[in-house]
Amino acid sequence: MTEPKLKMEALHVYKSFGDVKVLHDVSVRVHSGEVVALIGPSGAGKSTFLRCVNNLQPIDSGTIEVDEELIGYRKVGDYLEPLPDKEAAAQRARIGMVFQNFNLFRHMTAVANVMYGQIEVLGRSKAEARASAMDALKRVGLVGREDRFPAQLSGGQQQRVAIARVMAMDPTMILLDEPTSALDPELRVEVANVIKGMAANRATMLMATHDIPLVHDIADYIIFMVDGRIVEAGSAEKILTNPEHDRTRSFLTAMES
Amino acid sequence: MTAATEASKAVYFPVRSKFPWGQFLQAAVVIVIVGWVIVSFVVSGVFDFATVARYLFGPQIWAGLWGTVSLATLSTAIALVLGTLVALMRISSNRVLSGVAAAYVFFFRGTPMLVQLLIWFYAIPRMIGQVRIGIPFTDVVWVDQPASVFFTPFIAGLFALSLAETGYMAEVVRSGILGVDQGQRDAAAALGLPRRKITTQIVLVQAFRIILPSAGNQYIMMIKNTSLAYTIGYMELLLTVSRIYYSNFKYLELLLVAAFWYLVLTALITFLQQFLERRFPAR
Repeated sequence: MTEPKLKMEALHVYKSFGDVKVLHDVSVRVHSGEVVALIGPSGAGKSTFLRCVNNLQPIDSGTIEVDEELIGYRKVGDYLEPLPDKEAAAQRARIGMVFQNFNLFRHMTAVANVMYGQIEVLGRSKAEARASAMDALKRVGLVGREDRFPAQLSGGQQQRVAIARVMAMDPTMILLDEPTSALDPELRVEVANVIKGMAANRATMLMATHDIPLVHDIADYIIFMVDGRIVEAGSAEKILTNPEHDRTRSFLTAMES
Repeated sequence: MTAATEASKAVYFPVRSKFPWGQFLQAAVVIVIVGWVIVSFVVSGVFDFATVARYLFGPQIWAGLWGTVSLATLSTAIALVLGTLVALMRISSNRVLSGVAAAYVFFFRGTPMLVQLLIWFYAIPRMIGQVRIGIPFTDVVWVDQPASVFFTPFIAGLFALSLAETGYMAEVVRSGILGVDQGQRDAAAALGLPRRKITTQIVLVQAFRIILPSAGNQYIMMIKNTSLAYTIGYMELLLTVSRIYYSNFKYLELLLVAAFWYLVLTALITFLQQFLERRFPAR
């Protein structure tokens, strides 16, 4: 079997908020069709790293490439300069993102949420956008709820609409920022099942999460972070069954209890 | 077998309300006070109600009413547009823009509307001299006249009230923008929307819904603030009734007529606001 294509490569990413180093020499690779899980205690920089990958937040140094294209910056000599807003926006359109708090547009119905980016960013016609929105809503099991507003949906349903919104944009990879953390156990299962379905369809995903059972089910590769640094990285099987570092072991033990 | 388990003897303890003596007493006191005010109003004979009735729908009133409604509505609409711009400048990361916006709000909110009105009517025309409005470097000229002619009471009133109101509206809109969750911006940015569309289609749309009650409030205030333009001779409700009472000396009756119409306008705006709030429910 040939080595799968490299989808995302982050090299030596540094970022500080004031004096606080939130990312310290973080390097991550994600291959096509792979699911990579970022785990670690709160404040480890998992979410920040995800937000940097689609340039929602600037970095201090380092490079992040998706499909061999530098994200958010261009090289000028030995420096990186931020891309103009339009080009940065066009790059974000190709990278999907699912948020912990769903972040559905509150003034739009479910189907309008899924249509919006297709129309405004991809330039699809309303009819086209509606058709693929309904298709995406069908895949997350929400046909019949398309005309509800976010406030009329449960948390699990909102997160599934948010996932449909990402799927309808046909992203090259998907970032998931603690997608199941804000949900109670019953709703967690329905969202986890949708994410498992995406993994089964070979979607390339980078997911920050505390949801160890979900990681166990779908992750190919696990990265364990503490205080903005990668402590340990390896195949999911190795990290979950035989971690090298005590810190990783104690974290996983705490998560299981 | 204990008594509690025997269905035939079960007691279900329905809740019974007591007569609310406290509330009853409060209501009685309020009714007595309000009744006393109304009765002494009518009995005192200060008001000649026949005169009130005669002018209430009089033909002169309509002109004043139109003067009030047109100036207040235009000023509020202009203030909403300019106030949105000032609010966006205020939250901009560009320090010069946010500084200028803060200074604008400070000056226009910090000085009385009446003072600004008098400046626009008496001082500004002398400062400017000649007013020319057209497309620069072409022969297209719409207005070319002395400022003292251009700044009619209506124009001066429009400048003064809309620019002063912009100061208040900027803060109202800014509070609305701050009320929109950061996650909404993140989600739009992650979908690949450029900054301008995020601001107009996501942030401002939601901000305007948030500020609807406050904006209605500002509109109602503006209806009554147009009465300040009385001082520069603008034909609004108060000037209209004062012209009448200077000739027939029925001061109180005509002020009552004006008050009646201010209340009607306030009721209409309240209705409009409630209609919009129902049409666009908070989500």
